[in-house]
Amino acid sequence: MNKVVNVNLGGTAYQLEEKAYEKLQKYLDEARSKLADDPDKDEILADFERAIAEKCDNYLQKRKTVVSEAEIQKIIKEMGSVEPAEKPSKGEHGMASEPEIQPKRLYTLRDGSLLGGVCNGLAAYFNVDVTVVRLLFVLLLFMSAGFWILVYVLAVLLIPEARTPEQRAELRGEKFSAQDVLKRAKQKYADVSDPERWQEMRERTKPTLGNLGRALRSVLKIAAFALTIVVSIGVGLLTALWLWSIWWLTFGDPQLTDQLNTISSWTIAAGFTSVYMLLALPLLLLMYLLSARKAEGKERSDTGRILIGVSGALWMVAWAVLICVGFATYGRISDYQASHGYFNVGGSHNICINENLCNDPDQGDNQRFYRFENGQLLEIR
Amino acid sequence: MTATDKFLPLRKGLLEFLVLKIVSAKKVYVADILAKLHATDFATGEGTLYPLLSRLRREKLLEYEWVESDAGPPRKYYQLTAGGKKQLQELEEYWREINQTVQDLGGTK
Repeated sequence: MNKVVNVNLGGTAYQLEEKAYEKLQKYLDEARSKLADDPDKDEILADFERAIAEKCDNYLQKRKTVVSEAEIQKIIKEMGSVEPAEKPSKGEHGMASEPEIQPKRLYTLRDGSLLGGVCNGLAAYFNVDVTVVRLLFVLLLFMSAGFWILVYVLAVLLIPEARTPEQRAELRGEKFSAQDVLKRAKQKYADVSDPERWQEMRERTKPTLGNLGRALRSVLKIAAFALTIVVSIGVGLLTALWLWSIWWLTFGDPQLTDQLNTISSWTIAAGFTSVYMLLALPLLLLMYLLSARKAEGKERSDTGRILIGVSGALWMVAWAVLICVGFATYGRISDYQASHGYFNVGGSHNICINENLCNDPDQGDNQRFYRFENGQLLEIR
Repeated sequence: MTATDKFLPLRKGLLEFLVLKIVSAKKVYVADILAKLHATDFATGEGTLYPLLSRLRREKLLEYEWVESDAGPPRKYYQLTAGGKKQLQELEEYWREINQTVQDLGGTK
């Protein structure tokens, strides 16, 4: 003797053996969980119930009113396992394979960088060719007379470096998941293990931008070469000028004006040197940037990092020295003028009220001579 | 691996096409569709068919109407929408192309 359970299937009551009820309950529960993502889940489940009800009808007669366990098992078998309807297949170029857009974060990127990876990081962030960013930076460097080196050094110090794959993905604004990494790794492996694909991939990873891109690239190459030559000549001239000025201050007989003569040669040499550094360091760095393009791998970025660190530090020292020299020189000149009876009233003219003291031929037309007479200042020459 | 196994994903993918074909002939309800498929390699159960039909309805390729039944609960009778007919035409066209390609490739007779 078996217990019987009354169920409502699609609006009609059916009597099931207890075991049969349990089996059916299990089937419908499974169906519910498999269809969890289907927007029409409830309707489909109602469809199932109606279909099961119809199948039960086949087993019921006037004197047989209960559906047995074996019959329910057959019915469930007929229904078949529940297969959620897949989303309309989207193929390989569908939206599904496209990386999802995630919030971006700026990092420096050392892989394939020349110096600190700032340009590289910016290029990845804005999804543009790194060469474009570097050229822009060089342009800014020129326009700011090297001031942007400071900006660069600050950027290296302040922007965190993308070390993990998550951060690299974040930099590009892609979603990161372990599956993606596996997928990429597998893809890479497939690419390198097949020589044909390997070749193809190498072609692909070269930044090919079509004919226009190639033309632009060769123009850029020529421009870079020309720039290297111009910069080299510039650095050479600057160095020659600087060496000559030091020699002149040391061994030559500098015929300085009376005013400047009171400043020590050392101060002047320091001033010249710092000016030389301020101009030459950015140019030297630029030369390195232009030539280092051909160098390979990690070695390159290590050298680059040391180079930018040293030149950045030197550059700042040079600024400091120049400012000190400026103050010292200004102080000396003021002292000289005060002791010789000049009043610097601003502008280009000095006022002299003691003709004997300020008869300085070097000052030429910049001097006006005055004399006090009856409490009034009269110009005499 | 038998041929039937190898073509399992293909058969799964073709089911939608076949269901549209069956529904295009006349108004049918699920048992009719299952009966048509039953004798073929595409035999399947309600567990697969209902979710598929419900998706096709969401995509506005199919519509259904309720019909009272003498025995048991009312039934959903399915038919193609205008969009469904157009889709079926495209699928048939493409299917012919694929068949042609299969025939044309290779020289085995």
